[in-house]
Amino acid sequence: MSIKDSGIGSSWIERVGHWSMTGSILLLFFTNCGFLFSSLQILQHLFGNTRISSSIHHSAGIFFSISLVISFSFWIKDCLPDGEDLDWLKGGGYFGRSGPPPSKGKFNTTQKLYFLGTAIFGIMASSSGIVLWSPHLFKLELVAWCHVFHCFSATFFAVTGIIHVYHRHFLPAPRLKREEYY
Amino acid sequence: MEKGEKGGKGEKGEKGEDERKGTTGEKAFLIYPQRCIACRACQVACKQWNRLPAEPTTNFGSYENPLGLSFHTYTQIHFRERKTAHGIQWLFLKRQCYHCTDAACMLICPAPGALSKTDEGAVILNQDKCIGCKYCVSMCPFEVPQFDPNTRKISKCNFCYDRIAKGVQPACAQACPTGAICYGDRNALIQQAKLLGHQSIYGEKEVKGMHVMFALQAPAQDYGLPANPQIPVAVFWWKRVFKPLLGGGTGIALLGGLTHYLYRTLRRHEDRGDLS
Repeated sequence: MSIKDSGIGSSWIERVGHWSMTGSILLLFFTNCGFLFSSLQILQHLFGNTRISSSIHHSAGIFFSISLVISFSFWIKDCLPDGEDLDWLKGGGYFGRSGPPPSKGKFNTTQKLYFLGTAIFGIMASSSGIVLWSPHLFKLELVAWCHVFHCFSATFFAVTGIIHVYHRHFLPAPRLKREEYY
Repeated sequence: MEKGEKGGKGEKGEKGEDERKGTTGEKAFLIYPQRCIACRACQVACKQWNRLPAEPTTNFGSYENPLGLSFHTYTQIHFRERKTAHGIQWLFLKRQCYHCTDAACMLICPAPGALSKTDEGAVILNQDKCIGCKYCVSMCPFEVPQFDPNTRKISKCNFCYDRIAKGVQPACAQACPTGAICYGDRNALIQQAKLLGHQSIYGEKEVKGMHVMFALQAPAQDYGLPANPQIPVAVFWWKRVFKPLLGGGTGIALLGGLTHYLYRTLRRHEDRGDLS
């Protein structure tokens, strides 16, 4: 039985959601780096100038929010942790002696956690991003905290994104053949 | 008067004098609101020097005009009324950028070079580098920076830094007919005000020292000034903790991934006996 027939493969809309998110996160990251770190100003010039970089960041933010909604609505039912996942986590996860994470259904425990983290920090990034887009409309304290939340969620996506890519593409693991997916 | 032309009451050679006196070289305004007659000569002089257009306004029942700071109004006399035993007292406050030492706008600005500080203590704005994010508008405890939706840029008082650099006092101070706006060495101005009996000077210590200070005769709130202007603590969390965390976390994740990959590759070769 192929992966697709088993129900654990991804549909085209799920793939669109995933790759839209990937693309938008990369754009958001690189357009923002020049703002945050003066040593990385060169990145802003890659996009034209600071203003264009800012506009791309805003547009990518909208794209990210849409892809987050798509991914969330399609994967939330498969990503709620069950008893087996909680037992593995209680056992210390990767740092315990419970072995690899239980893989029941479409995603294993760590994939579920990554998805939930993406959803939580994605909502945090999107909502704080709306405030930071028009900061003059909001109270000073709220804007200041939105900077903190926006930066913290960016840290989550930067760090876990790197781990995600490394885990998927660089760790030697059994790879499925293309025909098994379709 | 053309922009850049030196005025009659200039303070030529004051920098050298500062060095001889051992002062910091920081310049400031010390404003005595009780001397202000709200003639608004400062507003006009500011508009003339900075070549700012007039703005149409409407009568809203007060002599205050225009209603507030705007993209084309860098300084404005704000009218406040206070009930006293002798009736209504008018309080006049000169609104403009107060050139804070601990400037929230500079701290929050994401556009490199858009806001900078001169040796005299002026916080100056380079509009060409402004990206119109409006962070400074939201962060300023005095609500000074103004956003223009047409140009999508910020504007604010630049402390006439071009005049100061040539040893000329700012346009508003030069135009003031009553001596309400005193300009000069910051420390000397403070000492002078204290000799005149003003023990508490608004702006001396607020936001680590403002370069526009006031010898107030009533509580700051009565003039419409915040009693204790502060930069939100979250800004420090963002700048000092979360921003380094983003940079550091990304670096560690990249370095960790690379190290792990090299380690595994080496182990794999060892297991195969390639390295023996």
